[in-house]
Order: sequence, then structure tokens, then C-alpha cells
Amino acid sequence: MAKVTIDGIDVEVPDGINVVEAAKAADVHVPHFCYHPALSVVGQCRMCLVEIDGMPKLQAGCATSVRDGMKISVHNDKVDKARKGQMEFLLINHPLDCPICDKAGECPLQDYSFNYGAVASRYGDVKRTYPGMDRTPIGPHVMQNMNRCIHCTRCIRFCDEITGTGELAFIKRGASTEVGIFPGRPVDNWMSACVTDVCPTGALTAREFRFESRVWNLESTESVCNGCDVGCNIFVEHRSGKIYRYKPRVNPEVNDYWLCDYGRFSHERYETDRVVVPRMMRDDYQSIAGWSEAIDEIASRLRTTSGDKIAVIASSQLTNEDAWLLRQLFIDRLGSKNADVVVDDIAPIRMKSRNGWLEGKQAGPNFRGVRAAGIKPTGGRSAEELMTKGADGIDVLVVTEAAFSARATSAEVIANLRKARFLVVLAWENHPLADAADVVLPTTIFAEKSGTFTNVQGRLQKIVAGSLPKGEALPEWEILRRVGVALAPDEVSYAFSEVEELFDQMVSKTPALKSLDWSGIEQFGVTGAPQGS
Amino acid sequence: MEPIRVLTKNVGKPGSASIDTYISGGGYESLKKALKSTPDELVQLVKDSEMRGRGGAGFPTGMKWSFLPKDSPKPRYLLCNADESEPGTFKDRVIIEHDPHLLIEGMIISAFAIRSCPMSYIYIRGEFHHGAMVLNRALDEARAKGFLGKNILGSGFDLDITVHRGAGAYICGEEMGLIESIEGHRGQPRVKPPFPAVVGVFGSPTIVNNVETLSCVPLIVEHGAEWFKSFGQPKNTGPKLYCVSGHVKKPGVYEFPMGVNLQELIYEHCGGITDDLPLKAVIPGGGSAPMLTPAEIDLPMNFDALMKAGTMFGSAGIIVMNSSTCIVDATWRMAKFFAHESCGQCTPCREGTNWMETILDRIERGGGRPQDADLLFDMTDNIGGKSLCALGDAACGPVASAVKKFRDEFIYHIEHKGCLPGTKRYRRLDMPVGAH
Repeated sequence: MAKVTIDGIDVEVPDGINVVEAAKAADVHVPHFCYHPALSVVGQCRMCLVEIDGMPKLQAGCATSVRDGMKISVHNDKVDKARKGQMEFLLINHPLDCPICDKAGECPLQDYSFNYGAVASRYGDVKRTYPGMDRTPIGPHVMQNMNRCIHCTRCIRFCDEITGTGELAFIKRGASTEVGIFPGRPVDNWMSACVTDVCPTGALTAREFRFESRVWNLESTESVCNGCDVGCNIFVEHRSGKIYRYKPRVNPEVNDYWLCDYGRFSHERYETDRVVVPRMMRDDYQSIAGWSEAIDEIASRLRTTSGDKIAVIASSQLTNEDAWLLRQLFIDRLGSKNADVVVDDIAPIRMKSRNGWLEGKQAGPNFRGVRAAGIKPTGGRSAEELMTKGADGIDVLVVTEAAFSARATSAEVIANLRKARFLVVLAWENHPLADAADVVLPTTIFAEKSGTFTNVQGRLQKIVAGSLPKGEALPEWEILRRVGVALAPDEVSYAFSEVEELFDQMVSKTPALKSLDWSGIEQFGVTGAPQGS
Repeated sequence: MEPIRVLTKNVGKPGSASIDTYISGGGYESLKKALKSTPDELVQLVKDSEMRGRGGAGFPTGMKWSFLPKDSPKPRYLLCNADESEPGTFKDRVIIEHDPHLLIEGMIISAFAIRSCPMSYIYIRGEFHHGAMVLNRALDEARAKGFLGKNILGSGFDLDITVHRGAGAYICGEEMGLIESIEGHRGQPRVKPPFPAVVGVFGSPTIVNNVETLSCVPLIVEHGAEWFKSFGQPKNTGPKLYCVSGHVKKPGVYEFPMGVNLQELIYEHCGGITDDLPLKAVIPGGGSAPMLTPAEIDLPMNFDALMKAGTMFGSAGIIVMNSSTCIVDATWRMAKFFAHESCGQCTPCREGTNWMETILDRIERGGGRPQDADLLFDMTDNIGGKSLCALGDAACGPVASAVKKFRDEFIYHIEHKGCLPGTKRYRRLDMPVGAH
């Protein structure tokens, strides 16, 4: 540990870290553009210049390691003047087109210009422009506006050091230096849109998000990506029930600063025709039903059916709480022997955590958690059998998500599942399997409910309801609870109204999770959650 | 002070670049002598000579050599910086083209002294096509005579030297830029620390020395440190090549002991100012050195005296300007050079050098604004000392000194939208931008 003084504040920091990181310990912000904690240090932007006692010149905070006894000034007349000078240099050729720039509102250049820049510019000449490079699609997801670039090389280093694909490079030199791709080699790697996150200006923006919304109009909710079983931490950014984008949320143990393109744009699946009210099949026609009507119908069917004729196909999108309640209701109470969970395999997606690479191979976020909750056939029929050989002899089949697998859209699978005498499908989108069901119940998507997922590392991570449920949609646990109440009105374990209470019930009955409480799930998740396979 | 012929003793002899001429003049004897002593003795000898690097910064060579980490398992490299691109500097070219074996002998001795790995590089600027050919021919001769290759002269020391031609970037003369370029990367400096002596070329400890520095090494070995110190002043020792260009009657490369008087050099040895006009300004140490006025030039040309005078000795490239020079135009020319040669990675240099050039060009074309002189001066403060490598500082040298010392001329230019009477510009303004 090194004892350093930063702007008169004494702090103790680990040896060898740089001044930018050390200053965080003193709660002093050293402004910087090119420095990024996950990328190599180049010291190019000169924004992080600080004064260090005993050194005649100002030093770049990112490239200077702390030593015991160091006295660092982040704010004094000399440093402030230098910083103002760098800010001026960065802005003289910047178009200052914030009103039409997608980055505005979350742009370090804009923020620093307010905090450290001058009100008026002394630049009275023609700005440098890059003709024809103001809206260049340089990859399937990335749009480049070279005029806005401040040459920090974060994007170049990301492609060199994180993905190792090296599509971007500096071209030309001096004031004409541009960041560009090689002819015919677009920025087309599996994490390409991360360059838009690391870009401290609007030079690189995600094509999918361009002109969609001003960022300050978006609500941001902490969540976990449900694209695969890596469980990257994200912010779901939404407004009025529409998800506009996912942004990576830093978790050094899982996704560090990154998010893959597949996960980042997986919210597009929710821009579809949602199921908003319960529907029941009457006279070969699905018509709108009330919630109590639908639940009563399901409960009355279940009440008269023996456990070996009840089947459940659970989705890997269920939270641990959903799955726990599902098991408690269908396996423990009703004695179903045919409960199973299904997940599709996907081509492995690699994600770089700070400790190494993780690999996602499942299309759902929580297959392991659902299995660990006990959703598996006990002597009965597996979901695979129901899907391929037909659900003959099953009196009640409950599918917790119509889109539990990509195969669920195939006519053959639908016909096989339809062989059950009574088919209940929970769905958030209008789906051919839902259209075939006797009862369709609208469910929330993951961004509209709270709960926990268990990822590939056995890490329990929290998702938080952000946008409001569409129509009359309810989270799966609430639907299951209502079915439970209908079956056993006096049972105390169904007498809860918040997912936190359900979580507490689950924890109290799961030895591996004991002593955990909802608010105790830390920012980076809790490891050691039980995993099924 | 009289001119000497120590470094240039072979220059002018017929066939001076050939190994036979070199050996007949006592060449490669220093190498034989050096290989009989130990590397540590040689490092100490160079330290004792108090030689300071001839590339421009004037860092003591022996001390630089002793910065190599003692316990690193990695190979050590010696690189020769022959990327002589500083405006007004042409001293290394004389050695390379006329006495390449002096450089080669110096490199072999220095490589032996720093315990170099068996591969060494001469990074020569791309425009020195002839120089590269001369060097390659000389290297072939040295290999044939057994001065290069395996087990040199039975000492057990192996060394080969490769000539690496640059592709035309001033910034590759900066040692980190040179190292990146040799590695095959874009020629742009890396952030220091780590310094090249710790992490240099190919991630290994590296020493980068100038051509003239390395060429002094055989002389020190041959004659001893005391002889070397007999030239010049304390801490500024040895023979030195001075490049004089501009408005003097006899421009060229002159050899003097360190510390020749600048005024004497210009008026006596170089024959005075062309057209017998009065002197206006002198750049004493290559394009990046701040200008001196005629009143300031009565001083010895060495590192410390010029530092005290607020300028720098640099590469001893002396550019003389007589009273016909438009100082705005001359300053623009320097600013243009640095803006063109900026690698573009760090903010102050990329944006600042270009901005300075734009303003100076505008003033020269009659579009100056009253605040321009102050703006230029303030800008040099925002660039100088703030950039990643020394190019930013270099670009500020001429501009800051010109604005400070010739402020009246700048003001005249801005107010009258034209040059001071009696001065002229040396370029045509009707040329399209970028065509000069």
C-alpha cells in the first residue's frame, strides 16, 4: 500500500495503480478520454494531466504509477489552465453538433466541456472536416462520424486487445489523422457495438439506436441480459414500456465493461405483438377472458387430475423464484411426474470478464437455476418426449412460455403438445403455440418483473422490474400464486404480494442459499448458487 | 577558435568511404583495443569522457548506458538513430556518406560495451538513399574483414548490423517512434515510462544513440577520456559538428571543439551574412530551438550556455536569417513543418501545431487579427510540456520565441496586412494550400 496525498486528502491505495485510479479513493475525479481501465494505457488525450510534487512538468495521470509519499494536485491553477487548454484543442475541430448527436447527454466530451472548458472559443478559422466521413457505416452495428472524433484510440484498442480482431486503425497523420477500417474489412466482430460504448464522443454510435431517443428521456433499470447463460449485467433503457437499448453494466467478474452484439440487440425480440389479456378457447375460438375466470378454469382442471397426468414444460427464462414456486405447486402439491425445463443450445458466445473468458452455450439465462429448483421429470415423461412423441394421455399440460424453444413454432411440435387434453400456455407474444392453447395467459417479459437468475458460474444475479407490464400481463410467479390460492385458499405460503417475500421463502427452504436476503444480493451477484444440469 | 579535423579526419580523402582508406588511417585499431578490455571498463571510459549525446537532448551517454537493468533475462539492443530530420541539420549525413566505417566501428564497440545481443540496427531516414547504400557497402566490407559476424577478431563477441530505412517521418527520429517503426508499427512515440533502457525494441532493454555520438566512441577508446575532455568546456566535451545554413556566405558542416562562439562561427568562419545585410535572427540548434536575436549570439555553442540563454543546443543546426527575412513567414515555415510531421496521437500536438500553422498562414496572407499574437503565445504554453513526446515542445520553440522577440513585426503584419518594408517572404502565396 502507498500513502499518497491528492489535493490535500491523504489516502492509502494499492501500490502500482495509476493516479486516475488512486484519485477515486480520495473521491477526486481526474478527467480523461483515452484512459479506459480495461484497455492499455497510451497517454494520448492529455486531459488527465496532474501536477506531482518534485516533477517539473505536468504528468499524465493515466501513465503515472503512485509511489509512497507522492503529493498530487488534480486542481490548481497550473493544472486547470493546462486542462482548459486541452479542452480547447479538442473542441476547435469538433463540430459541436450536440443537438443532433445521439451521444449528447452521456458524452464525456460534452460533460468535460461544461466542467473544464471555456464558455467561448478563441478559434476563428475553418474547422477541419473529413468530407464524406460524417455518416459512414463501418460495420453492421456501428456508424462512424469522423468529424466528431477526438482520436482517443479507445475503439482501436478495443478491437486490438479485447476481441483481437484489429479492424480499426489510425490512418494518415497529424491533424488529418483519421480512425478507419481497412477496405472491405468492416467492424464485424461479435462484440462490435462495444466500440460505441467506449467512444467518448458521438463519433461511433450504434446504428440500431440512432435517432431513436434522447438518452435523458430513457429510464434505466439494472438488470441481467437474458440472451444466454453468461448473464451479462446490463442497464435496460426504456420509456413507456418500450425497450430502446441495453447498455453494459460493469461487473468485473462477468462481463467487465462489455456486452456482445447478440445480447445487446436481443431486446428487438420484444418489439412484437404482445399478448395483453388472458384468452380462453370456447367453441374452437379463443376469446378474451378475465384473469379469475382463467385461473378458476385451470384450478378446476388441476383439482381433478392425478399427478401422473399433469405435465409442465418450463422455460429457461423463468427466474429462480418462478421455478421454485412452480416446483412447490406442481411437483410437491400436485405430484406431477412430468415437469421438465427446456433450453436451446446456441453456438458458443465468448465474453471477457476480468479473470478470463466465459462461454455462453444456452439460449436462456437460467436453465441451471430452474433445474436446481427441482424442475425435472421424476419417473414421468420428459419435455423432449412430449414434443417429439406427443402428449397423449396428459390431461393438463402447462407451458410457462410459448417461445420456450425455437422448435415451439414448428407445426409438428405444436400438434404433439396439442394432444394433451387441456393445454395452458403462458405467453408474452402472439405465438402459434399460444394460438393452439385452451388457455393463454399474458406474462411479463424479464424487464417487467423482478427476480434472480443463476448464470454459468453459479452466480445469483438480480433483475429488477423497470417498465410497466403490458396490458394485463402478470409475472409468472404471480400467475402461479393465483393458481395456488385457487387450489388451496388457506395455504399461508401463497399469502404474499411481492417477489421479495417469495425469495425469502425460497431461501429459507434452500440450504445453499441460507442467510441470503433480497437486499443482500450485491451489485456483482452472489456466487455459490445451486446449479442443475 | 580554430576548426579541427577529428571526427572528419577522413572526409575529403579519396575513397573515404572504403574500408581500405579507413584502415590505412588507423581505423579499427580502437575496436581491437576495446575487445581486449571489459564492457564495464568501456562504459566507465565513456562516462569519464563526459560525452553528451549528440542527437539533441544532450543526455550523458555513459549514464544512459548504465541505465540498462542488470538482471533482465532479455537480450539488449543497440539502435543507431540515423533518422536525421531536424530542419537545418546535416551533420550525420557527412559521417554516413563519407566515413561510414567510423560509425560502424563505434557501433561495434558500443554494442560490446552494453553487452548487446548479436543484432543491431541503424535506423536511417528513407530519404538518405545514397547513405543507406554506402552503409550497406561498408557493412559488407566489414563483414568480409571479420569485423562483423560471429566471434569478432577472436573475442567471442558476435554482432551483425542491419540498415533499416524509414519511410519519411520526422517523428521516427524520436527514440520511441523509432522503436515502434523498427518493430513494424505505425511510427508514433509510446508513452514513457517505461523508458527504452527498460522496455525498448521488441520489449527488450534498448539503447538508442545518435550517429555522431557513436562515431565519437572509437576516438575516446583510441585517445582516452582525458584527450576527449581536452576539447570544449567542463560537462560539454569533445569535438562537435556544426551545420550552418541560411543567409551565410559559406554554409556547410564545420568541426570545432564544443563551445565555439556563435558570433565568431557566423562572421569569421562562415564568411558573414549574405548580401552583407544585417543579421536578424539565428536558430542555433535545429528547427525546434527558439530563435536568438543578433544581440544574443555572443555565446559559446554548448548545451549549458544555450540552455541559459533560453534556447537549446539541439543538433547544432544553425539557421541564419538576415534582415530581408519576413519573420512571420519564417515562423510559419517552421510551424508548417511541425504540423505536417505531428503523428496525430496526442491532443495538444495534433490540434495545436495545426492551429498555430493556420494562424501564422492567415497573418502572412493579411488576415491577422489583433489578438493573434497573444493567442499564439498562450497556445505555446498549452502545447509546450503537455504533449506526449517532445515534438509538441519542439513546435513551440520557434513560435514562442518569434512572437516574444519579434512582436513588433507581428503587430505590423497584422495592422498593415503585409510584410515589414525591406523584408520578403520566400514562398508564393498564390500557390494552392498544400502545394508547398
